[in-house]
Amino acid sequence: MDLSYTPEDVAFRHHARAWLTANVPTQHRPAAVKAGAAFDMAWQRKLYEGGWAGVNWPKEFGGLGLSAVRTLIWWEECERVGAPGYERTTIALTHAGPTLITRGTEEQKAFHLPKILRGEALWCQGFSEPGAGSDLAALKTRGTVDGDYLVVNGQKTWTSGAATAQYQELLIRTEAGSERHKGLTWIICDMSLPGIEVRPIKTMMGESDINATFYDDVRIPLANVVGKVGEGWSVAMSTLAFERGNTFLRDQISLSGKVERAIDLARNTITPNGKPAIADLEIARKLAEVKADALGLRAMAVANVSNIDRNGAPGPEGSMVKLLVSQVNKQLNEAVAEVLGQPFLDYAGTKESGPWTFDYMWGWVLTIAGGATEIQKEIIADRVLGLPRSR
Amino acid sequence: MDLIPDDQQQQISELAASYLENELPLSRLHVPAVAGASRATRRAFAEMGWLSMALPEDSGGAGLGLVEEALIFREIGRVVGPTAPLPIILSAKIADAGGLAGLRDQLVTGAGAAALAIAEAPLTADDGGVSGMARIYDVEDAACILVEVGNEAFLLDPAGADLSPLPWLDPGTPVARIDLAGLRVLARAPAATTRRNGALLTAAMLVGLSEGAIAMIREYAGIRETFGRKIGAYQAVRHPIAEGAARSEHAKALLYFAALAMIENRADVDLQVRSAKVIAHRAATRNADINIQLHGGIGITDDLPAHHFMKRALMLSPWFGSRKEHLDALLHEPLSTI
Repeated sequence: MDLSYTPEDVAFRHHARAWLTANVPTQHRPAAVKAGAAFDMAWQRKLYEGGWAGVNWPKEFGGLGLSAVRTLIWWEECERVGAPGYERTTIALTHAGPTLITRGTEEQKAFHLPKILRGEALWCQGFSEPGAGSDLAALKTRGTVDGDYLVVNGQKTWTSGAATAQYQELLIRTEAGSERHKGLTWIICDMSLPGIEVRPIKTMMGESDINATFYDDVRIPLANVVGKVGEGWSVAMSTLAFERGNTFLRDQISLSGKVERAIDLARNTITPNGKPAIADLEIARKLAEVKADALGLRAMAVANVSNIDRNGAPGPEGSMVKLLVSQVNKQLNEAVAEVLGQPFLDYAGTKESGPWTFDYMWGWVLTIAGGATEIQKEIIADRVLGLPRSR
Repeated sequence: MDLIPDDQQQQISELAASYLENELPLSRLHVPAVAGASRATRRAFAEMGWLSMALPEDSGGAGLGLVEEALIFREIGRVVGPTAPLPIILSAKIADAGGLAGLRDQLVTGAGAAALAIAEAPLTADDGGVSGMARIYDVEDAACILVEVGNEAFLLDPAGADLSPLPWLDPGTPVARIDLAGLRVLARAPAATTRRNGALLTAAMLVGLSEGAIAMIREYAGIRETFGRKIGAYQAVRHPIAEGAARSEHAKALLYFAALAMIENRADVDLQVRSAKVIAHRAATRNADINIQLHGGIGITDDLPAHHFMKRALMLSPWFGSRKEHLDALLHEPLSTI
């Protein structure tokens, strides 16, 4: 055990820091859906040109093949200069790309992976449906084979970025009468195909980058199937280990910085009694406790990368990180609402108009999207603790 | 950068775990303690080198470090084992640094023990010694009393002090209550290192308690049936256990990080150690609660050792800084740059 970095890791850090400092965008990410997506693609393009695209993708597929420790260093340096996160490139870089790497054909990989790395294509995820959220295997959107095509009919929902994505990882039921995990197919869907309609869903934050997506006789070439027809569930689950290792690293690191900003806010906010909010012991201790929590999450990030580099897979902490990060984030948000008092309510429907207020509401996105808190607990109970199955 | 115990550390952990499981099974806790049992345990711990691990080899130690100490205390916590080794280890280090080889050897061989004094009212110190009321933990066979006053740690001679144990919530730790005035000073040292080391090892015990409590209820949830199913299949039962397990992993990662921060003398060492104790204490108390609650009626009986996890976590709360004290201090500790 040690907390020190090898000289090579330190050199890598300085190399990353120098490049990031010179290249980090000087403007904030725009709030508008299209402008935001364009910003994300431009940043990905810049990363590609600088040789920083796909930090943890294998080298043979165009990535940097960084060890987990160096991936952590990369995110720490991004955090230090306030570099953009994945944003709308999330699905392409952390899910669709890795799925293609694991299960795609040579043609699929050759066509899509470079586009993702170069920032030429955004992806969205077509998994959830109105009747299949946490219970994904209940999905009903149908695909019927017709010659060399799958003809798709149905509806997906919570499709983040559907209005700006070029491609979608689409999970559909292709075997009539099949149930649960059987008879599903994972297919690459070109979002410009006729018969696809994207309708924005306005959120409580006032923004609309999640959508309902409708499919009316959408003809997708069978060549776009990843894995085989009927193997969709195993394809969809093939990147689980990848996700557990990496998806929350940036969040784990950035939480400590966010806590410090909240503490500064409490020092600088005068409450109606004329004193700074930090002088309120209850607020001060709440903030102190989330500060300790955030340090614990950072320690877990180090444990996580240690396990990946040592054993090739995350340890139990990998399944626990999302549960904890999203909960600690909510506790921090609650403390901030108390710090700000009435001005916390000043909000005009965009993140810029009230970043803390936006974050407070975004807290529920983190505890629901990508496996709700309750599902995270099921995963821990089943896979880590081996408790008797609940279903 | 590596937060996973190496092979040797893993071995130390596993040996300690299997020894403690055999010698101090949780089932021992609901029969009256056999006279002399804790003395024998102390000697056994000494023979295994657990009381002198981090002392230099020419002082009779194993030359190991804080990580190894933390690993052992985590295992002791898991079985609600004795707290006595904690003040012994800290006192032996002070005695060794202060040239008190006799006291050091008495402590690390298990011939005598060290008691820990925690202030009940403000303590004061001058050239004549320390005065003020304190609770004295682990009074049995005490060869010295360890106490922090301001920025100094003292070892006091218990000779002449009335250390007869009081009735006390946690039967594993005999406790007395005295005024420290008049006790002879054996050694004095800057308190910072002792305080950090003490907070770290207390956190380690608390992490072990949090893990032990979850292990106990996890096992029961796989056996006990209600309404025709194993209770572990009910989300009202399995979800709190899952949360408890996550709480333990969180506290454990921070414990290891804090131990390394101490070893590497990082600028944020106090922030890390304070945070580690706060988080470990919360994990231990919440997991102790889950363990009692989810056992149902049997959980509140003395037939089951579940209550000992709760009592021990409560007892360790003021050791080397209370939750409030740590929170108030860590709020203003600067976040170390990466």
